[in-house]
Amino acid sequence: MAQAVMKKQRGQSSAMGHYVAERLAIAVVTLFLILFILFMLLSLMPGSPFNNEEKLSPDQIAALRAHYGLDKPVLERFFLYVWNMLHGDFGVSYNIQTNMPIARMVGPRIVTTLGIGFAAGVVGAIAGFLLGVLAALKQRSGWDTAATIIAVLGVSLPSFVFALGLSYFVGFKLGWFPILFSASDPIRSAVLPVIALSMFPLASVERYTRSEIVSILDSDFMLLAKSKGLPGGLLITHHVIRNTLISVLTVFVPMLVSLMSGSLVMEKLFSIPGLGSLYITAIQSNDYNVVLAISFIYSVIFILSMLLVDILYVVVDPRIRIAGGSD
Amino acid sequence: MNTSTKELTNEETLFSLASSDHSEADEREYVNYSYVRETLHRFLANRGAAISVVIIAVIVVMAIVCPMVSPYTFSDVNSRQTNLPPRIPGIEAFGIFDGTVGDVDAYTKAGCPDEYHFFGTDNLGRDIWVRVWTGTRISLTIAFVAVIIDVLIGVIYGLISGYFGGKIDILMQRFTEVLSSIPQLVIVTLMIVVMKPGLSNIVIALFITGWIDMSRIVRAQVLKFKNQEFALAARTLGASSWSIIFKEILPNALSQIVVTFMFSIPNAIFLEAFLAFVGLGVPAPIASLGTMINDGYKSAMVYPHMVVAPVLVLAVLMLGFNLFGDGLRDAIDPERA
Amino acid sequence: MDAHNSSTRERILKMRDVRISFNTANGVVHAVRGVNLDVYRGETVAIVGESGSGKSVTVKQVMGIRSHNEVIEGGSAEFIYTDEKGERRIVDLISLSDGEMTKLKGNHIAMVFQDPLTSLDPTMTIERQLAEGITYHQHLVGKALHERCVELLDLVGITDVEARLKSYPHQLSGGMRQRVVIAIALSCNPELLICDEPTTALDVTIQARILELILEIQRKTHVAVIFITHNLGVVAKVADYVNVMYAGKIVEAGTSEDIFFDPRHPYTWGLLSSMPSVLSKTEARLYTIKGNPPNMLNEIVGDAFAPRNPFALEIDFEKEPPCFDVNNHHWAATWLLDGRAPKIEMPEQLRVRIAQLKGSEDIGYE
Repeated sequence: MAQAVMKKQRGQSSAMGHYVAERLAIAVVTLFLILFILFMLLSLMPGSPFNNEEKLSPDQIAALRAHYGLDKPVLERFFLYVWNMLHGDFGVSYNIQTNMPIARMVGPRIVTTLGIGFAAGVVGAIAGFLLGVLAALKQRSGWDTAATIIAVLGVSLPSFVFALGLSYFVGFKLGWFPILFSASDPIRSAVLPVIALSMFPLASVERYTRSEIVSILDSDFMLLAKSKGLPGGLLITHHVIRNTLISVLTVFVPMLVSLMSGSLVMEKLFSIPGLGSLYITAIQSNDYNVVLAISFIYSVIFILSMLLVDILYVVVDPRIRIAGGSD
Repeated sequence: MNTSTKELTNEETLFSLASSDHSEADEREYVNYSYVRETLHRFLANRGAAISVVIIAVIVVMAIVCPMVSPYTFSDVNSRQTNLPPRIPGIEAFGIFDGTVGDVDAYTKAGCPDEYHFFGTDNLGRDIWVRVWTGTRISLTIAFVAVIIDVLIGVIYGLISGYFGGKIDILMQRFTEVLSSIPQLVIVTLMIVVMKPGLSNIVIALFITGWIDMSRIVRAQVLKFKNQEFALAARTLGASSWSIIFKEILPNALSQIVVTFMFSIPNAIFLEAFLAFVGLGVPAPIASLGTMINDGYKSAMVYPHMVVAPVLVLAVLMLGFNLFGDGLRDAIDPERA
Repeated sequence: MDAHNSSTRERILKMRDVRISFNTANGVVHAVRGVNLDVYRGETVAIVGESGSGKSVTVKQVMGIRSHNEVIEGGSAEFIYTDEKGERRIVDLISLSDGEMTKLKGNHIAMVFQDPLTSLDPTMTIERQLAEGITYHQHLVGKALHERCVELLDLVGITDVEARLKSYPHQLSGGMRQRVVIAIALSCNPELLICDEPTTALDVTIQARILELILEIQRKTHVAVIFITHNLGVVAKVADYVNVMYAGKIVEAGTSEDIFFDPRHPYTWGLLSSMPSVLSKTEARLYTIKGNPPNMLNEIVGDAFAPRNPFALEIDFEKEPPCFDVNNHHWAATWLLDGRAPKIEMPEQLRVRIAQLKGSEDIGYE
C-alpha cells in the first residue's frame, strides 16, 4: 500500500504542492480575519485593563494608556499589533505578571498543553479504535454492548465528571497518582488528566470505527472480497482496516481540537501550568493582551488542524487524491 | 387446511375458474403504516431511548417541583449549619445518608437534629438539594432558550442560503466559514468577557456560536430536496418560493432539524457548565449546575457531597439528552442504526 | 442450442428442496420455499423473477453468503468439482462450514455482482484486488502473478492493461469495472460462475457487450454459469435453461425455447406479455401483471400466484400445484396442466407475439 501511495504522490507532487499552497493561503487569510475580529471584540471590552484603576488618578491612567499605546486609534493599534506579532512580540501582560512579555509566558505552557492534549488524543484514539474494531467484529455480543455503553458515556459526560471521579477515587482514595500537577514529576502527574481527557476521543473514535466497519462489512466490495474466498483475517487486514483507518484518520484531527475545552477544565482541576489555566487567570483578571494572544493561539491550532485534515484526506484517500490533483 | 380437504372432494368446483371473491386475499398483504407512528414505535423500542425519556422527564419534574415544596430556598444562608453531610429520612436507618461524619452526628452538633438536607449543605449552610434543582432549572432554561434561538436563526439562514443559491449562497457560506474557523470555546468565552456574565448574555453567547451547525444541516437538506420531483412539480404549478420552502422542503427537512436540535441541547448545557467552571457563570446567588460544580470542586476531597450532587445531575441530564438524540436519529433513519 | 443432449452433460450443481427463511422484526420471512436446480458444465442456467422472489437468496447459498438472521430450513446443494490433486469431489454446499466454503469460493465457485461501481475496494489498485485471490488460492507471486493478471485483463477485453492494473477503481468506467469484476471472478478458473444481475446497473449499450463477454468466456473456458436477472431480454440472449421463480419457488423450468415459445405457467405468460418487444408494434399498450407479490411473512396457501392470476382455478387457493412435466426438459407447477382442469390457452395477444418471434431468427427482446 505504502509503495503505491508513494508512487502516486511523486507523480502528482506538483499538483499536491499547489493544493497545499492554496490551502495554506486560505488559512493565513482566515487567521488574519480572525485576529481582526478578536482584536475588535476585545477593544470593545468595558473598563480598563489595569486592575488597580480605582487607586489611580486620571492623569496616571492617561499616562499608563499612553505608555501601552492604548490612546491610539483602534485600527492603528491593530496593525501595530500584527506587525509586532510577526516579529514574535505578542505584547506584555498588564496584570498577571506586569510587563512580562506574553511570548515568554506562553511558550512553555503551549508545550505542556499540546503534550497532554496529544497524549490524551492518541491514547483515546488507539483504545477507541481497538474497541470499535472489536465491537464491530463481534456484533451483538457482550463486547459490543460494553463498547456501546462506554461510547455513550464517553460522548455524553463532560470530561470533568471523569476528572473528578478519577482524582477522588484513584488519586485521593487510592493515592496511586498525584491529584495536583507537580513540575518535578510531570509524567506521573499527567496520568489522571490524560485518562480523563482521553474519554471523549476514545468514545467518539469507538463509535465512528464501529459504524464505519459495520457499513464496510455490509458493502458490495466486501461481498466481492469475501467471494474471492479469502480467510477472515486477510479480509479484515486488507479491506476492513485499510478503509476504516482512512476515515478514522480524517475525524481524528478535528476531534483533537475538540479536546480544547476539556484541556481547559483539566488544567484548572489538576492545576496544570498550561495554556488553559493561564487563559482562565487572564480572563478573570482582565489581562486582555494575554486573552487575545491565547485566543489567537487556539484559533491557530484549530485552523492548522483543519488544514492538516484537508491535506491528510488528499494523501490518504486515492479517490480524493485524484480530484484534488486535477483542479 | 382441514376445511380445504373436505372441499377437495368436489372436483368440479375446484377445477373451475376462480370467482372474484378471492380478491381480498391480495388486499390483506400490505397494511398501511403511519410514518410518525412507526418512528415513535422504533424510538420506544430502543432501550436507551426509552430510558432517556424517563430520565429527562424525572429531572424536569424534579427541577420544577422540588424547589417549590422544600422548606429551604436556594439562597438562604445559615452560618450554623455549614458543610452538613447528606441526610435522607428513611434511608438513614441503613447507615447511609444519615448525616454523620465519622461517628459524629453533624446535625446534632449543628444544633438541628430534626432537619433533613437530602444532599447536605454547602459552606454557607445553603441546602444543596434545593440549590441543585434550582441550578438544573437555570441550566435547562439557558440551554433551551439558546437552542431554540439558534434553531430559528440556523433554519432561516440555511433555508435562504440553500434555496436561493448563487451569489447569496457563496457570500453566506464564506461568512459561516470564517465564523466557524474560530473555536467555539474562544468565541463563547470572549463574548462573555466582553458582555459580562449574566443569564441573558450567556444565552446570547451560546446561540451566537450554536446556529452555524444547524444552518449547515438545513442548507444541505434544502439542496437535497429542492430539485426533487415534488418540489419541481410545485414550482411548475406556480407555487411561490416561500410556499415551496415552507410547504415542500421544510416538512421533509424537519426530522433532521429535530435530531440536530436534540443534540444541541446537551451541547448547550455543557457549554454553560463549562463557562461557569471557568468562572464566567451566572452571578451569585443564582446557581447553575456549572457554578455549583465550580464552587464545590475545591473542597471535593473533604466534602465530596457538595460537588457530587451537581455533577451527578449534570451527568445524568447530558446522558439523557444524548440517548434521546441517538434514539431519535436511529428511529428516523433506521438504515443508519 | 442443443445443450440438452443428456448423455454428454456433466452435472456440477444439484440443488434439492432448498428452503430458507429470515427472522425479522415483523416475523419469519419464508424467502425460498423448496427450490430444485441443476447446473451442467458449459451451460448457462437463468433464474428469472421479480425483486423479492428469492432468486438472489437461492444462489447466495451456493456462495455461502448468509446474513445473520438467516435460517436454513432444509435442503441440499451438491457441488461436484475436481480438486487440486485432480480428484473428483462431491460436497454439500449447504452443510459446509465457513472454513471449507472459503476454500471453494473464488477458487471453484465465483460470483459477479450487480453493481460494479461499488463492488471494488476504493482504496486498492486493480492489480492488488485481482492478485489477492490468486495469491491465496494458487500461491502465485512476483512475475508469474503479474503475468496472470495481465492475461486475465486481456481475457475480459481490457486494453492498455499495464496502466489499468495500476489504476484505482474510480478511474475506470462502469463497464470497465464490471470487466475487472469478471476478471476477478475468473482468476482461479472456477467451475461455476454466478452472475447476479451483472448488467442491471450498466448502460444498455454496455450491457450487450458484457453479455457477449460472458458468453465468449464460457465458450473459451466451459465454465457453468448461473445467471440471475429480472430482464427476459437478457435471458433470451444468454441462457440455455430458464427457471422462472415466483415467491420463493421455481414455477416453470425448461430450455430457452420451452420458456419463450411454449410457456405454460400463467406467471410466465404474464412475464412474457409484459415484456417490451421491438416486434410488438401492433399492440396498443403493454400488459402488466396486476397486484403485488405476496407478503412472505404470511403463510402461503395454495399457489402463491393465484391472487394475481386471471386464470386462477378454485383449487389454486386451496392446494399447492405439483410439477407437471410438459416434456422431458420442461415442467411447470400449475393446476392448468392437470387433466381435470378446463382447457385454458395462453392469452391470444401472447400467442400472436410468440408466433411473430418464431418467425424472426433472432429473439428480438430488448
